[in-house]
Amino acid sequence: MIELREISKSYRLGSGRHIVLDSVSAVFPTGKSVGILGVNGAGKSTLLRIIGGVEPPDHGTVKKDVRVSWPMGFSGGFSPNMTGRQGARFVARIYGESPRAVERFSRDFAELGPYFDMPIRTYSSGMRARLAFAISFAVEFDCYLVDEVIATGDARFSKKYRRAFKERASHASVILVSHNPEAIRAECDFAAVLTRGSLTLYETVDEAMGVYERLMERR
Amino acid sequence: MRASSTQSESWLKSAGVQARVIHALVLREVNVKFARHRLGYLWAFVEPVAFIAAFALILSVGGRTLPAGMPAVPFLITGIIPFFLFRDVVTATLRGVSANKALLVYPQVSAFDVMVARFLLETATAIVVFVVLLAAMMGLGIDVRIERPIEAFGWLIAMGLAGFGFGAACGALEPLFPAVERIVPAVILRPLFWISGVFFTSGMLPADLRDLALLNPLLHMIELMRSAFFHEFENQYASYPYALFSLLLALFLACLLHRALRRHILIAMHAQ
Repeated sequence: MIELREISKSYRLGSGRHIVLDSVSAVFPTGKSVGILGVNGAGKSTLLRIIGGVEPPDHGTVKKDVRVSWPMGFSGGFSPNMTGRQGARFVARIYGESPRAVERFSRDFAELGPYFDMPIRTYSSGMRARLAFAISFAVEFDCYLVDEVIATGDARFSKKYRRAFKERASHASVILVSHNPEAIRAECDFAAVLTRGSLTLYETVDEAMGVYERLMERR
Repeated sequence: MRASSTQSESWLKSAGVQARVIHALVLREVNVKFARHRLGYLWAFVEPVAFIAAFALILSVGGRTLPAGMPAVPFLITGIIPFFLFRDVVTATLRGVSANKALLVYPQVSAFDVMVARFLLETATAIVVFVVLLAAMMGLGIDVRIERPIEAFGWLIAMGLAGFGFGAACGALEPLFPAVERIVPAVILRPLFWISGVFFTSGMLPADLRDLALLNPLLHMIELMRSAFFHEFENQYASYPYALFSLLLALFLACLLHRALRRHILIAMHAQ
């Protein structure tokens, strides 16, 4: 279970402050995947980083009793000068897993061929996403924090990723942040909408989608 | 009782995680520093050897003799290696965070860990370079005897620690004042090379200049290292307490700034 308690976050913006999250409270049950919908700049990525423990909130606390991945986004979380192999070994080490096992699994799952030994700066964004997913699957998290990245893989890889994910769906869940409703419909058990600093959970994806679409029309 | 024991357990656990992270970072830095060029390891020697050769030539052409008849090449080794270690740790810690920003998405990796990893690698490299240069001199038939080896190496490591304290303190300020990254190497490190006793001793300076030069803790450290190294050299002006106090102050300041500015550092890192 991941519990957010009255999370607030604002950024200084010139002379004023931009409130991104305004006392957000929510519970994400273990084993259920949730999609978070929101327009660009609504604070989705900020929320993900706060859940991941990368960035501190101004107020409030995050309680986690499951192993949560790092927030996987466009950059994938690798230094551009690392090779895929070095990235796999690095992540294995900081999570206390066997570097060899993680390296092998990632090599086979990501299917980067000779690029596995090339610096990550030479990768396309799709390749970077594949590497990030392969490594995170090898490390075996309970909850994956994903920032709109699934759509960047090619069709074959997204199929493979979905299959692998379904296989462990019983004990792994995802918090998927996106402004693409289709991705959320495909991945998630329920969904939430983030707008004007507050997060509202809906029981079904369709219900959240309806709210989100009305929100988009009003813009 | 129970509360305190779980507290110490969680402290142990987080120390374990930090050790793991620093270990992973050191291995990563080895790849960045050395593996990119096939002759990467050789580069660690090229710069100090070139400087030692150049200054040895200047000393011999200028006909200057060193106090207590210290031989020129070991004298320069004991100045240049520790100073370059200080300089390299400062620049490595300063640049470490911007070079590893992508790694800060892992919640267990902090800017401070990145700096510690870079300090460890630079210091280990300097120790190896120092030992290899001394061994090479013995190979050439020059008699090298270290008077108090543990103390001499202790001061070499102290120079690395001083670089870490100063560099990590500046590195904590960097997210707030990005100019720090360019100002420190140009405005502070470059002049320090000329006033830290790399190629002179404080005894060679006129008295009024000497008092001024001795405000610089690095001069004390290099001189204390030489007095531990050379049987001939008696330290007259460098002060043990001044060197140690400055070192501890720099380390304390670095920890304090990282603690106090933790949120600012994280937020600035992610805002970009």
